[in-house]
Amino acid sequence: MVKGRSLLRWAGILLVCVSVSFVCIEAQGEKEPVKAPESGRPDRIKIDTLAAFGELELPPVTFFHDKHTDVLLKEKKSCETCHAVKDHKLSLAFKGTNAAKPAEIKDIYHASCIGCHNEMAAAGKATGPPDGFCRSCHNAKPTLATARLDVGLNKVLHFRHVESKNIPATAVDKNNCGVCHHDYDKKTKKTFYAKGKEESCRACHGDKPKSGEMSLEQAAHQQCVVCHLNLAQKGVKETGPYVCAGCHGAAGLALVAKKNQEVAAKLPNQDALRIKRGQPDAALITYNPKDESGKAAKPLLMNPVAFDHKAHEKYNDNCRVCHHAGIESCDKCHTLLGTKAGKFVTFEQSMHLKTSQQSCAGCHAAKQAAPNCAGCHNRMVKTGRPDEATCRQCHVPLPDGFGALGGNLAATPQQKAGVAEIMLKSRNLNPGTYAASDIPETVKIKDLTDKYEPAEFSHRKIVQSLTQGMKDSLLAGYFHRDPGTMCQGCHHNSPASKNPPNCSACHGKNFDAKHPDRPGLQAAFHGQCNDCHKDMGLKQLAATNCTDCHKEKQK
Amino acid sequence: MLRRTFLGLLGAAGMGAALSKSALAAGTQHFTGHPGSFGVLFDATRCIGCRRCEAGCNQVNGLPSPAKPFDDLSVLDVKRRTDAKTYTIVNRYDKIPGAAGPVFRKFQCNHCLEPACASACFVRAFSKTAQGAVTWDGSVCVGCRYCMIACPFEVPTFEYNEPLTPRIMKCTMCYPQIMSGQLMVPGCVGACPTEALVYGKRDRLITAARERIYKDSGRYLDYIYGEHEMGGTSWLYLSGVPFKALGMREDLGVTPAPELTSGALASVPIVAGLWPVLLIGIYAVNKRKDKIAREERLQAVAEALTKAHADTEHKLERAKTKAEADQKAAIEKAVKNALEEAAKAETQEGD
Amino acid sequence: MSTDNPAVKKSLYTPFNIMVGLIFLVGAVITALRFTKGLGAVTNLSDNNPWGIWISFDLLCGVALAAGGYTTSAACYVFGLKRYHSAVRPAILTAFLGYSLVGFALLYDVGRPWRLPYPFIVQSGPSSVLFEVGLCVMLYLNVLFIEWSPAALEWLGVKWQGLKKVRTVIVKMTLGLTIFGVILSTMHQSSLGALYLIAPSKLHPLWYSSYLPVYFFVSSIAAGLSMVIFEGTLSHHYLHDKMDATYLSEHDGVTMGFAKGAALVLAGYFLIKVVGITMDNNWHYLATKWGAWFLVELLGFVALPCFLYAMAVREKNLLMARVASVITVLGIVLNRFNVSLVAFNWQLAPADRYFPSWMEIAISLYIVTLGVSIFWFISSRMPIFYEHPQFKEHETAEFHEHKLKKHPQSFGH
Repeated sequence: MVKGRSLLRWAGILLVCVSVSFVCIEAQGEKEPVKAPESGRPDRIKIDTLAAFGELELPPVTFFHDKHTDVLLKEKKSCETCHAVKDHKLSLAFKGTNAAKPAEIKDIYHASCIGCHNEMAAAGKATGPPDGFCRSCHNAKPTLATARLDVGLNKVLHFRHVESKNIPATAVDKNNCGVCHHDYDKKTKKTFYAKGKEESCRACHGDKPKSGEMSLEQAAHQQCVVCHLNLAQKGVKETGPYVCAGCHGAAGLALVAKKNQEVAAKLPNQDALRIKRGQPDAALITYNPKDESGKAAKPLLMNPVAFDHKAHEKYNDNCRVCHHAGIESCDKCHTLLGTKAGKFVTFEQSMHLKTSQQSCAGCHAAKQAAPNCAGCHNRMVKTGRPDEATCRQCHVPLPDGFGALGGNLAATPQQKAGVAEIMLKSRNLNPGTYAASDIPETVKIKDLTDKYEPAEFSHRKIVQSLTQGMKDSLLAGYFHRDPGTMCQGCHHNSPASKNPPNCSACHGKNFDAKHPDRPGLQAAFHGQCNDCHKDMGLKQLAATNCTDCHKEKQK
Repeated sequence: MLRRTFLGLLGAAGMGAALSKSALAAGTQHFTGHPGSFGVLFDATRCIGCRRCEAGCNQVNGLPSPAKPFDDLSVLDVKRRTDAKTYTIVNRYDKIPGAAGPVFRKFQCNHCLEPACASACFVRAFSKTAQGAVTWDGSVCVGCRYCMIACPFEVPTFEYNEPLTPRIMKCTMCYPQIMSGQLMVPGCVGACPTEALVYGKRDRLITAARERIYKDSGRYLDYIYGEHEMGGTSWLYLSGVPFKALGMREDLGVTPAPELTSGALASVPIVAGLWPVLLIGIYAVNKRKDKIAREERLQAVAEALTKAHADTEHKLERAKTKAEADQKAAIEKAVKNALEEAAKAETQEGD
Repeated sequence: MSTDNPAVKKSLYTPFNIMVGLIFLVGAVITALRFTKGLGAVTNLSDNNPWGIWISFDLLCGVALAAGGYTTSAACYVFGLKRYHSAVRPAILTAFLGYSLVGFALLYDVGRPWRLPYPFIVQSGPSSVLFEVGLCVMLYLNVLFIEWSPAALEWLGVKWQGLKKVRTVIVKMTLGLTIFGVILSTMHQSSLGALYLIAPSKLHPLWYSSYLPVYFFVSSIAAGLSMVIFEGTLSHHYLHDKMDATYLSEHDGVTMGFAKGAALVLAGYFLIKVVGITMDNNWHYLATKWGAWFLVELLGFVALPCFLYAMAVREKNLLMARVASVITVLGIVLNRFNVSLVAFNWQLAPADRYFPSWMEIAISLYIVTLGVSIFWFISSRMPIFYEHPQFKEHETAEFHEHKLKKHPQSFGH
């Protein structure tokens, strides 16, 4: 038999092989490691000033701004500890690093940061890392993530600023718009207030700084935070936040939202919230082309659309929802054939593109996704050319006596607005419905009964509740003003009528391959009813609870 | 050139040309299914996970009753696969990003256009019918289970608990029932209350699927699963979420399974044709080499013997000549001595 | 362990015999279970894992390790290396028993074993690689039987004279049988690899390659050569007294010569494996855990024995060659296991993976024990390790040295 020692040797080799195999075959058990949830802070900033000058030697510094401002507050020190003040304005750059040479920047940071840490440590207080602990600050993989929420100005917040006594009126007029809203002269490199031409900050300030223009982040902090800070230093009690968490943290935002709600509730009507920029209440959407010489040319278009500008302002938080690039007429960039400035989106597309939030049809289509609407509207075909009746909902012929006003080159904006107001007043914004006696109270579906009894459902109640669901929406009301329109949600693919056809008029028992999108009768019932329930969020009417709709037949 | 050689070359060239032509033709051909064959379109956005299809299949095929009844939806809490008593199952997939609720998928044989199981079976127990279904013939099955290895969708199941007559069990697309006129559509299709399953000609179903995608672009992924997978399947799938999220493999490729092994099989006759030539050649060369070595050896031995013989002869000759010369010298010397003796004697007497 | 000496009364209950008897008993019980309760009661096979170690070990490894038959007979008869002649019969016997036991194992694994001849007599599926495997294995089993039969006929021919004529005929067919055997072996060794070509989605990319048939064929050559060395070593220990002078004198030469051949073949195999990774651009897989396992197989069980063999030949170290042969054999087993079990279905969840049941392992052990027992039975009775004295001169027509033409001037006779 094999000698003892060589047996031992072989056993050893076998053991090694087995161990290796266990390690390697463990490969089949590999799964994604579960990551522990990380808490985030809204004040996490990345200090990478030197990144503009080339590749960084060490990872950028992870810096928690609020932590430091809290300490400063406790130490009764001001922001000037780190931020220089120039012309009564706090510089957002750290101790002049925006103007320093690259070689000096590192030293400025180290001297200030580590210097302060050392001082605090010497005083026996809790502080950040001292010298020598490079990676504590230059941390490539910080454990705390950024949890910075986006901030925006909505109508109510804007209103609060407009009405605020702490923001004084400018010299131009009795409004204080010019305190924030400015224009920029590239030649003199100075900002100035252009009345009547106020825009959203984003019209000029983008995500990244450009030559002569700050990034939105810098501009917003400079304009908002510094102002809040100055007011606070002056002793004003109720001022906007000036610490990171105050705007970017969930708690801070919730506080702002609560205050907004209180202010809005106290108002007599929502009209006060309107952002006043001299906009019309009603407008006639026309296309005003120019010919080669720049003179107004004759347009050959559909009937112009009367647009209720005031009502639409109510539904949106700010002007940018529609005026996305700036407060101008759409046809400046979106010409009939499209221009580069408008990203080659034509005028027709800018009004009708269903996938866009800025276009009329797109926003309306998005509203159809709401649970109250989705039950019917999710069933409808979304692609392909809509029929002319749909166009006529908006492109209504002009009232008698106004002729082809859209083609009237001499019509002034005021005249057009006047016509639009007249047209809007004549609009019926109430959802149309037939008399209750005309709507069957219950409907018994007897076709195809096999394992189940006929399904009986409260037809009238459903119709009435759907109509009720439209009462708060002028949009829904207008588009469903004809009584038969809403019925077509279920009684589809047929003309609107008080006596719409039975489902079995078109849906045969079996699926017909020649009409691939027309299900058989059973699937038509189930699809229409159950999918509507699902889209409207009626969880208690689950598709798998068969007996909710029809009882089982007793054998 | 000899006449025979010329004719032989001509024949070889002709054969080569004929072979290469057909090989080229095979390379550009692509089987898109028997014309007019049937399939089923499954629409994952319509399936509500009610398991009526499972019940229908079970009833139509006379399968044993399951442990839990078909209306017990808690069964969907675990992912299942088909087994020897179940031709089809529905699985539920929760928490798919982009999906409002759970999505369901029905799993059954996909009735491929070029089935891997049919290619793999060494007794041709599977056949792709002109109607579209892939059927299994139990009268020849040996139970080797290579079809289960070959199927990329892991469909065929085996009756492991049958000791002597285990069968392969899988969905038949209700071929016997449809062919005999008992059913118009497969059991699962007929049972589905939401028309998530639709039965029809495969070409028409693909068109129908494309129309559905076009008409409701937000609802579906622009992809028909099964149109090209493994060369195309008769069971087609539409979904609003990525197919991977429904447990369907997206990395199967479009090569039909038979093409994966046809190359290796094609080399068999080449081996049968060339190996004898090679081996007999080696053997012949070796034999010749040995023979030549043997002959050279013998030749060398013979030459050595001849040389040795010649040497001996030469030595003998020299010895003989020397002996003769010696003898002659000896005789002369003796004569000379005798004469001298006689002369001496005469001189002595004369005194 | 000879039974030559009748004077010594030997007990049948040696520890070895008891162990073997136990294995046979357990095997018989499990066999009964298999055929009364079905595969599910005996194996851990499932619908996701239809092939287990009865295919991986008994079929794939069995066929690969029985490759010594065709390699040795090709070396001796086709390549004319007569100094390996004494190794041919043991190799043929090993191969014959190996293939017989492959068929025997299939009787367990396949659902309806009596239908195994169906592809040839009822209905064939020639598009199937398995059909080709079956056909070639069946034919090759017959070839091996015929090649082995002279030994049995010599043993039986002592009693029945008519068998001597049969034996002569068979011996004349040796070359033809050998060539046919090499052709059949090439085909089925490579086709066993080709079996897995049909499932690229189930096999890990490092082991799946369109070169799988070539890999299996080339590695079978190395396996055959190594098995001859390995079994030669074992037989030398346990059946020494059955070996004649020719065998003993050629034995070391066989080891060295086969070691040389195996070194070359393993080097070529290593190279084509690297080529395979390159052609499919699978290098990045080597950085994973599967890659580490692949490297264990490639470096530890292909490159290492190749190197050991080369060293052994250079240093004329028989022990190193024997160690290398063991590592090669283990490497082939590992490769077959990897392709069919470990890297197969690698994407399934761990709960769905297969591990053999103890009964499957017991049956495989039983089959191996059966093979070893029959080998011992045959080689201790029939002229496998020695030449039968009655048939010594009439080996083959090749070796009739004394029928040379005489030189006219040669001395002597």
